[in-house]
Amino acid sequence: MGGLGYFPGDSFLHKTNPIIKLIISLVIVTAVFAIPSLIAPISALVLTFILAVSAGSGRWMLHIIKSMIKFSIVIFVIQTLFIQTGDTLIPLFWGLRVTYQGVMFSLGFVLKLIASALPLALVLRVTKGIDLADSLNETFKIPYKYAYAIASAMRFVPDFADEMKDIIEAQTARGVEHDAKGFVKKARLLAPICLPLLINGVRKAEIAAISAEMRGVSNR
Amino acid sequence: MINFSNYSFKYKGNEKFALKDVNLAIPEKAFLGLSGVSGSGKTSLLYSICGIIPHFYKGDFYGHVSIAGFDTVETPIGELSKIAAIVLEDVDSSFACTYPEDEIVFGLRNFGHTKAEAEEIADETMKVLGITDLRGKLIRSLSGGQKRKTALAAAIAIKPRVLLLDEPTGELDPEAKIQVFEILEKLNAEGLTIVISERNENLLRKYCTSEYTVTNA
Repeated sequence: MGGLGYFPGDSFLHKTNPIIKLIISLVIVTAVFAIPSLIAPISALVLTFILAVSAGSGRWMLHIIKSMIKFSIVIFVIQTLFIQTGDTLIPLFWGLRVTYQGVMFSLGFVLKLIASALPLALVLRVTKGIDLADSLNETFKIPYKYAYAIASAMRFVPDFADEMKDIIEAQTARGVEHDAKGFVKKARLLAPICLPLLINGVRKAEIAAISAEMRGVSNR
Repeated sequence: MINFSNYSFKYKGNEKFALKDVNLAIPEKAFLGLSGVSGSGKTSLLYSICGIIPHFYKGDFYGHVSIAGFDTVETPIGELSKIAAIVLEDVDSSFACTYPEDEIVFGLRNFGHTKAEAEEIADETMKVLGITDLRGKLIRSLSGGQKRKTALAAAIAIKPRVLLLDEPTGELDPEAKIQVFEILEKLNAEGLTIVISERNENLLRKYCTSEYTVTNA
């Protein structure tokens, strides 16, 4: 199934010019935020999903949506509690209440969040980083060094996922209980993972930069 | 081809010299093996040849290092990269692309080849190294040996005058190590100057035309 980043395929979307894919995704994202209605993010979600299915990535997109829903529920709850104006739907403790306006605004917010993230994720799913860098350089005259940096950042996503898995396994082998339940316990376990991940990330980025420079990236 | 003259280098923030009083002349078409214990400065020496030191790693730089007549301090890294190619020890982090063929094309495009030319050269290079079967496979799914060969292919495709290799056989099985050295021996016979850092001294003695023991003492 794969995570974020390029996945090979022979679909129409894979063969489409990277810039056209990028523009279409930006148009969808702009529409999501520009049209003040829930119809915009819902339509964008449906359209993006259809495009993903056409590129053979329907299951992947469902997986991404599922991951985002977990995160969105937390945002939805916090956002709803912060909006205390409008008609009361559910009275809560300490004078807090769930309001109609709060629910509608928060629902729109999380839908827009999901609908705006997916088109770009799909572009990266069906476009090779190197092709994206070439196109950004040739079409928009973005200096190749920067276009390459943008495109190559995605190459590291699966590497970081592997690195994180390795760190968790190493810590588990030394007695850290990573399957602990509860938000606070899970949050506490994140810090010892983030630090080595960050240090390794910086080291990998440095080596990648040296390697790219030694293969003439600044000559373009 | 490569000249070190009274060269010493100390990394920024370090008390100890990574390399001290190095005087070394490496002729064209040499196949030089660098030996030495861990931390003796083999990697630093390779980095100094191609300009990674001092362009990326700053510190106290004494003496002179030149490659093909170009002073490594004064010459921009872009120019130095036209002369020397390096295969870094951490090949996993050094890849720029997701697929082996793209990795080879990447460097060639940077040196002015059109996409069609680059793809043709990539094809030929993959044939030379016997890795055509890796086409279309994700680099991260390849074995250690296959990754090394891909990195080597990306380095030699740009036709450098000097090839530098930092512990290229680190994770490889004995058979794959010999394969890598046989490829290098062939490239050297075709006129490529090679400097290689390697822990296995038997391999260095068998394949290299000269050996230099690095010590930062």
